[in-house]
Amino acid sequence: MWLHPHPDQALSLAVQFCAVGRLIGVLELMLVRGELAHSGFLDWTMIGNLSPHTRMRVGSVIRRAFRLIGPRAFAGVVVVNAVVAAALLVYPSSALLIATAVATQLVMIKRHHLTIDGSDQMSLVVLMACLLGRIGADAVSLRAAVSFLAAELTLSYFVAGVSKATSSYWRSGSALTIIAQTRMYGHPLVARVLRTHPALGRAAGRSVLVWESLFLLTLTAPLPVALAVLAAGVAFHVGCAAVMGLNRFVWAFAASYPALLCTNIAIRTGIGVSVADAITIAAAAVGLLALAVGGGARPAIQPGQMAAAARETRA
Amino acid sequence: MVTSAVIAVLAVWFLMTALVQLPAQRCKRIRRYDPTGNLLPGWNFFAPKPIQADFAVWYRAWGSYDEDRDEVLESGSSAWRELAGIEQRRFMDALVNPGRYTRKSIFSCCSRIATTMRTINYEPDDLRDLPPSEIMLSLAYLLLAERVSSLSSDAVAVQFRIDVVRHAAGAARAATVFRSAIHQVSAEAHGEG
Repeated sequence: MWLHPHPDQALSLAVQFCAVGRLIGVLELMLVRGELAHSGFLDWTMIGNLSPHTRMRVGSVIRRAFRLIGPRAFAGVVVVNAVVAAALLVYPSSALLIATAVATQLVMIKRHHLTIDGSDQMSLVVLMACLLGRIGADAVSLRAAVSFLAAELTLSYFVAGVSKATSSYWRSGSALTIIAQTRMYGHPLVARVLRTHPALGRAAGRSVLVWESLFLLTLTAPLPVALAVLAAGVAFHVGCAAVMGLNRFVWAFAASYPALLCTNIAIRTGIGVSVADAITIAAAAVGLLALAVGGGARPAIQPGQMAAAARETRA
Repeated sequence: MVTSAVIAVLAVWFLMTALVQLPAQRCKRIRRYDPTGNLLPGWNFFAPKPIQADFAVWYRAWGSYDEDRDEVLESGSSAWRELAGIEQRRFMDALVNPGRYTRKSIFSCCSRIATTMRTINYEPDDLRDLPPSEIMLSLAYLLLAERVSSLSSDAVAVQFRIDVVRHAAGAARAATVFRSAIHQVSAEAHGEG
């Protein structure tokens, strides 16, 4: 099932992965419930002081509705969140449960607007796509939802890779060292290792760049290659969790890995194995050439340029 | 018909997501059609410019007013103390990371204040100047002020500052970029009324 998931299985696994991420989120919220109290960073009487006027009328309605949600009601939302997430581990194909999960995810995102990150957004995207697939409830809808998840995952990594490929920090290999030195997303042990072994930092940074940029090859690559790339993805996200504290990204992004395998099988079956292999090889060659030629490694910003950088990057 | 609608929604949604990734402002405006505000995310993590510095929030408190002037004196404050929350993380955070709420909140508040400073071209020559109202009335400022007030419940006044901490060759260099006004600690923070 794991290596050759059926669309129904792929969507179920996606929901289950997201459910694990949500249960972790609920546990984390419980461990810092003091922040929900007065003067806490999650105190709604403070963070709720937002204008009710938003771009879309729906946003305004949501914000106005939030003003009616007291602490008890929010505690109820958290309980529902946890119960639904646990239920989704057992009933991952239930459209009603998924819809409730989407609604509670949105509530949490809107409430904790200062602390959301990419994993919250990816979880919402995955759950919404799975919901649409389950609403359609036929083979075509399931296939469409699976294809969407595969495409969204591929797009996310590709955009991240291209963005890094155009960055002097990432191309020169200094980005990981820079990030590792920060308290926000770094770790002192890792920072020390990367400082004393700069070649390691360069290799790791460029590996991430290449892996993300060429991730889309998994759509057509032979299964062993696709699995190797996905395994690298799991290792990447686990590494980000360990070093940067981005623990829920593992679940939010790996949720779509079964969908990607499912889509890979469908594409290779549809266009033929030899054509798929040819496309993979050609795309890999073009991609690697583009990465090697485009831009060239420029030196990363040096300490002497910090003043200019400070003015530029005050945010 | 439901199937067609599902396919159409997913196709249009993906197309919009792909367009939103492009740098053109016209493409970014597609986000106005997202009622949730979170279904068209940008996927360029830590790129093209990775995070290069930290924010550190420090605060100090005054235990009493100057009797003659009925105000607090600069020299009468406590030592600056760093607001807890952005400590070094533990490897256990790889599994469960509850500290992210506090850490991200502090970072977001500082980031928003820094962005506002840049937007209104506020670069104080003297950090003792009163910050502009655009900053003092912002949610980010109020959150930090409320937090440091609650930590200084036995004080009569508090003040916080934001440092940008840059790292090079294992050494950290901090520069204060913002200092708040001096705020009276409310009776609520004292646990009264």
